[in-house]
Amino acid sequence: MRAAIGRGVLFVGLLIPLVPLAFWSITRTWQYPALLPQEFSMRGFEDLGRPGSDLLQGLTTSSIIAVIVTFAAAATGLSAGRALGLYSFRSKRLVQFLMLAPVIVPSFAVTMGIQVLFIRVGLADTLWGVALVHMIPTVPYVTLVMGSVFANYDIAYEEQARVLGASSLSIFRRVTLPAVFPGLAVASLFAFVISWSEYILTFLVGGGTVKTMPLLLFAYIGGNDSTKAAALGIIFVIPPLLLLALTSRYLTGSKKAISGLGQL
Amino acid sequence: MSFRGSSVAEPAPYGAGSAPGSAIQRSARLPGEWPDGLKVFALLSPALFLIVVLFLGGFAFGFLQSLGLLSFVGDGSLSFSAYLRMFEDPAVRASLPLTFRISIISTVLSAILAVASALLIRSTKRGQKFLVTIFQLNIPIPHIVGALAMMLLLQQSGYFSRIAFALGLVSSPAEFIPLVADEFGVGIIAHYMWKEVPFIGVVVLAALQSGVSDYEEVARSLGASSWNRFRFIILPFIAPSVSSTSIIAFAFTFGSYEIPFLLGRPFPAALPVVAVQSYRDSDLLSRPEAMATCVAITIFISILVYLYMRIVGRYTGGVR
Amino acid sequence: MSATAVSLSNLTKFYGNHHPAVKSLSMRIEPGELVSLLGESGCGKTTTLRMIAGLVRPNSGAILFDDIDVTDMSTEKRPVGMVFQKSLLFPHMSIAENVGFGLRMRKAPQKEIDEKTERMLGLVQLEGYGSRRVGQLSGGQEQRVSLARALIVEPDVLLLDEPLSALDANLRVQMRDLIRSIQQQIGVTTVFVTHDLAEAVEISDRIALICDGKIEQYAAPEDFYTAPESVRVAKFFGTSNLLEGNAHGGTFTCEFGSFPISSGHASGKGILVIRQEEISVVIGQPRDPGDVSVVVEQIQYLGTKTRIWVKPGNGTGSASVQLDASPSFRPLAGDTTTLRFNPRRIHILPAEVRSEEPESSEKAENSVSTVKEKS
Repeated sequence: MRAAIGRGVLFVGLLIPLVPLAFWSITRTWQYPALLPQEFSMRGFEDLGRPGSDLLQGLTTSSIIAVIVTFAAAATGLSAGRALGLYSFRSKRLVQFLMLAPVIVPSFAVTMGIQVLFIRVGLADTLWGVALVHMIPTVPYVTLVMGSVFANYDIAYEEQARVLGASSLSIFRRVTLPAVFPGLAVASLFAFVISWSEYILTFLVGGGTVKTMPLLLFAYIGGNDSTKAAALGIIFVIPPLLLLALTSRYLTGSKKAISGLGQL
Repeated sequence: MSFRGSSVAEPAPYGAGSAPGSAIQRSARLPGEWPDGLKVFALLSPALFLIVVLFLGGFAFGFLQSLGLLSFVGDGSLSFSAYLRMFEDPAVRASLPLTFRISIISTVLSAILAVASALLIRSTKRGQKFLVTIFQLNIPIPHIVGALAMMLLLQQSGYFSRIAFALGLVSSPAEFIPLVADEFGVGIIAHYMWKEVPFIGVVVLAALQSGVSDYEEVARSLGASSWNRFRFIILPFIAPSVSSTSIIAFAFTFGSYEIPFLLGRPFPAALPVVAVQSYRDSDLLSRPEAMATCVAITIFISILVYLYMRIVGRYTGGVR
Repeated sequence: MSATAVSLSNLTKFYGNHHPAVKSLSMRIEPGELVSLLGESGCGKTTTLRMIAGLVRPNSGAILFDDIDVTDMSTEKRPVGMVFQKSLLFPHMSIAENVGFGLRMRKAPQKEIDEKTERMLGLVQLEGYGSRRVGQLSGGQEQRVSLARALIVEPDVLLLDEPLSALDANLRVQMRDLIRSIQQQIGVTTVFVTHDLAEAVEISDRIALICDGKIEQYAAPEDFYTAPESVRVAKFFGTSNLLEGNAHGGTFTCEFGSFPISSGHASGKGILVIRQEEISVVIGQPRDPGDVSVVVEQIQYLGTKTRIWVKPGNGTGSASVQLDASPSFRPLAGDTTTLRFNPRRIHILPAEVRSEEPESSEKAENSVSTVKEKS
């Protein structure tokens, strides 16, 4: 009996913050103290959907950056993870620390420092500059997850393929990649979500010129229009939720991937 | 330098070291194959390059700027005045108790609730999958959206206030206690808990489902009540998972900018907010102070990272 | 301390809507007895044991310890001790803390815990090991600690779930002798689950052979050899010499000939069971009752014996009999020879409807589906 109450409380607690958010996004008027909006409307979404609205620019910018970051993090993380998982070497603990630190240490602190360099080389206020700085939290994260994957990987498959005459490229494409794909998929998707949700790094390096969705949402939250903010928030949330649903079958058992999600 | 060789990783109980893996020295080398050292270097270099330049470089540049060098203003000579300014800055002094309070309270409460939730979910027979899905649902929700949701829920004209009105507890928004932009940081803590409980909980749940039930059966046959089973069997079993995720959660809450900015006050503000405030201050003398704050935050959390590595124990390349 | 009798009456357990794991199983275990539950994987023996332990609730039926109905009693409160296939020693505790755990749960004073722990470790021949950590012991040592841990609380019933299956062969033999001697020393009523025939035969007072959730035969070990109660039992215990025929008067007639049986035996169709070790080779022509003339069909030289398959002497018929003969006897296929079926070991079973085929294909289906589930 107590357990059933507990489950109810858990259920409500998890979902209740989403309730006003959802309702506000479809509100025309919702004055205090009504529990439901007095008038509904899709104005919020319509305004956002109009051509020339901020939404399109935000979506494009965010997507481009996130895609660049995801592929770069996947590639570098895959190879670095292989090194960590399959080999032991003298400075391994140091490398592990170097990979762990950027995942846990807040990136904005070092980004503030690097901004000086970015200005000097002309990367400040550019999309590439922002993409570059998004790699700070993502590359180490993918590296650590792939390190785990490779630690449980049996190199015998590759040796077998080599004995059968396969070239290195072939081995990578047909043996290694398929074997590590689940872990790689999960790590990459989370890298995407980290970049997609990133605010302060984009703000510091982009200088307000590079307008991603989080910057947009931040601005709307500061404004007076709860409907618009809520509508944007809902649109903002959909890609991460979708991607997570797609990879959910790879997710079970991959608690290492989840551990890095403190980022979000 | 050695190659691990093929080995079967046997799951060890209680989160002890993972794949022992025998480091087998391979004697035969194929023609044209690189030595292991070169391979490792080649594989690691892209990622290491990025980390060294951006992370270590960022830290180094920040450190140098905090010492007065590399700055746009000032004569570029070494000075510790930024650190002195930081220690005496009322914004920083007010920020420390607030930041620690928020991080400690939210992490401790989240850990307790996460363990309780994981145990609850584990004991659910019907609808467990559904409950797990809901539990994981808010993990991918970005913090900014969560902050917005919390605002709409907790502000004085928010949903909770309206429920209170409907229950006759308040008669106007002003009567509802401020939970957002309040001195204690209730709204901030609430948001962090809403995000951290599933995050810690999912990891604890995975740990609970990886073999502790066999030990529980033994304990039952020896007469252990459910409280004793929790105390002597379950708790030691999940302790590594709880501690490691709690450290991550604490570090995140400590270093987060967006949430305390949106849900808190400008003064006293959390430390990251203070750092960014200094950074954007039109008084360019604040810039080194901002850098000093960042350096302090980085060093503090790096110590936590070291602690994390110690807790998780020896491992072969992955973080548990 | 006087030992406890265990009674199971009509225990039934099913999972989901599959056929039951345990079907209306009843048996009584006498105080101080060591009874083995023997059978193949999936036959229900472990489920039965776990019901006695209280880890599984039967759908119907009752479990009694002496006169006390424990069916609804939770495991924590049942006076049982249990040893599993994996030692499951608590890794974060020392050996002494592991052994003393049960007493600690009963809030015994520390002095008592320490004394009894020492005594228990001595009983399992691990004196002085108390301060060691779990990772420092071998598999066999761990199981001995596990046994000490279970016995320290002086349970009414000791339950062992294939405790030796994970050990290598030599160790297994040593360990089962140790378990048996400790059990007899203490006199605790014990239920031992195993799939290993030799193990059950060696240590048990009685064996319950379980197939498909039911007891096929419940008797002392030798009865399974001299008087198996069904074809299934005979086959499980390793004989396939089953000859169909007719009993009449004091004789049983089958394709191999006529054999003397006890005169009180009922007339009618039956199956003659004779174990391969109870058949001997006779020099010369058939002389005594129980001697038959046979033709050698197949020979297999096994070093310590020659395994021979023979057919009836007149060459007709499909029946075949196997015997193990001295390794110096090496006949050729087609040779005629005389065999003696030990008249005292000829056992007659009532004729059975061959219900084995459908059940074995059921088993095959089940194993296919579990393979599918696993992949």
